[in-house]
Amino acid sequence: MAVEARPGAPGRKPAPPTGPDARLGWWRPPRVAGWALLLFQFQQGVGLLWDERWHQAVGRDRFLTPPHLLLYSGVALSGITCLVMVIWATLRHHRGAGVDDGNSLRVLGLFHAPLGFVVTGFGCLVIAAAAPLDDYWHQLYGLDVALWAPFHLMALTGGFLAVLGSAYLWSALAVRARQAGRDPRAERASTAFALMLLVGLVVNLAQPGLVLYPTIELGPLSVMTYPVLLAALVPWLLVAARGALGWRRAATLVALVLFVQDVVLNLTIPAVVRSVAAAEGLPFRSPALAPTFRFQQVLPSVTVLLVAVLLDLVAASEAGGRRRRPVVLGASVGLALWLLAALAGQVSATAAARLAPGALPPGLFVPPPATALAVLLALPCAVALAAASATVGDGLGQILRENPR
Amino acid sequence: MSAGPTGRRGAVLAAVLLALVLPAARPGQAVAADVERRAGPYQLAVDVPAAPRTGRALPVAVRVDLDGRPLEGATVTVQGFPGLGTSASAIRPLVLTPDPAAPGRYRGALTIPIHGGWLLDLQVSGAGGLHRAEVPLLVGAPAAIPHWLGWVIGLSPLLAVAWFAWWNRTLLRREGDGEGSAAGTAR
Repeated sequence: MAVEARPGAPGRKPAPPTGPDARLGWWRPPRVAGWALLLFQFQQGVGLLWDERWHQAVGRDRFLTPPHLLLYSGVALSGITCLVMVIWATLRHHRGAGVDDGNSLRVLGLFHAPLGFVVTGFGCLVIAAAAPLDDYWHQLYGLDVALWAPFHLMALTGGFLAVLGSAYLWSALAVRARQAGRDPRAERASTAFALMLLVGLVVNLAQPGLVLYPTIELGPLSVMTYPVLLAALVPWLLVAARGALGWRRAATLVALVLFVQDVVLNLTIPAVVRSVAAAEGLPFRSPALAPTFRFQQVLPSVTVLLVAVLLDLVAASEAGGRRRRPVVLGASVGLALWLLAALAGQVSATAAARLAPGALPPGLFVPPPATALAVLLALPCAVALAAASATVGDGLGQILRENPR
Repeated sequence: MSAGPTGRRGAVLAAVLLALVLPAARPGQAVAADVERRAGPYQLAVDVPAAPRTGRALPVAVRVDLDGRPLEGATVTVQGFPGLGTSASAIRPLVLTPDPAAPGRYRGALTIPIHGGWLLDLQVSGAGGLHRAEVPLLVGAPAAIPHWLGWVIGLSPLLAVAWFAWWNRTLLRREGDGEGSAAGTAR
């Protein structure tokens, strides 16, 4: 993907609401497409969670299982939406009808489209490429390859790019709305929703660190995995949400919506798994793996919510009227993340270790929880990574706030 | 008569192509001789491929006899269960359809998703009641790529992420320069 950055867009004073861009209202179809993308990406998120529960409880008897159908139809619809929008914007660019270097990017020397559609479309392509490879990997290595398998990670990277594209698209639409003198609240709310989906995705990505891989071995030292991963993956998105949205409680809002979504989905999906498995005539892999709501399932989003509240509070307590430096913000959040994530990790690992012998399918076992030393060693790693992560998030927030493309 | 270098190269190429194509075509096509099973009063003759492979349709045909005669109007269901050591889950049940060309014969196609040992559970419901029998099956895997290659391919999109992060960084820098020059002008 070759994208040419043209001078003159981000960071410059927004152009006045004149010219073909304002006259023709060219942003209306991207807005509709942007909402459609958010809907399809939400659908993919539901499909992903359903798929994980389906895997655990029922297994995987074919590629197009019901959760895969939900997940991949969302990917296909997102991809088609992006393709249509890229072609539409390119045609408008060639006709000189409002699409120019100030509000879109030239891609591969052929196309002109808003950055968000390009990134989301590329993400969908990556997921589509990962799907058959994932199926192949399962054929070779079985059902219980963890989420951290090569082609699962490939698909998750694609999903991450796709949702990141949505965040770019909506933040650019917010900039355009501001330039046109309109209230950008709807665009900002949509940006917040995209960022919520992103936080959900990275929290999901860290999930195997809770129980399956409780420690990382660094030579003779063992370090607890989960706090380190969350410290690297979460703060940058929460800090970016603050920067992009400009709301005092932006991080809390994003994390709160994630928490509500997590609770609702974790309460409803077990019933869906039970009824669809019964309709398909598929037995559960083990009675101990029958789907039910467990408090541990929402522990990660509770952790993120508490950390987001703290982040907003620390950021609000400005020292001498000056904005807190992101590295300080990140380090203080890293400390809290370490504590909460370590607690969540220990609770989940202890609950999993209590499963009766023979409750799990043959070949699966639960490693013991991290030792006290491993938890302690995770502290400096978590603080350092959270500080770096918050610095990255500060930059992303700035881009999302200013980039009109 | 001796072949020239071009002819020899062509022969080698043809041999290589054949070697590549033949093993791929072989699995899943040979049909085993009937596997005989008894399910209560029913005599079953089960046809399954001799060397089935994952991800391909696995044709299954069952001839059901009751008291030495082909049984028509029965319901024959087949379901795959992973054998010991196979990391997989049960496949949803498939109801076989009667073969119009052969009375008492029922057929259908399963897809086995993961390689290893499997048990086909056959359920016959008809005039002799509901009875079942099992047929073991060994399902082959596709050609394996090395683990490291899987990881290289799987993580390759991270290059795009890294490039995008770098591109964003240049955007931020330009923005910083823009602000600096704007401040200079204002002063």
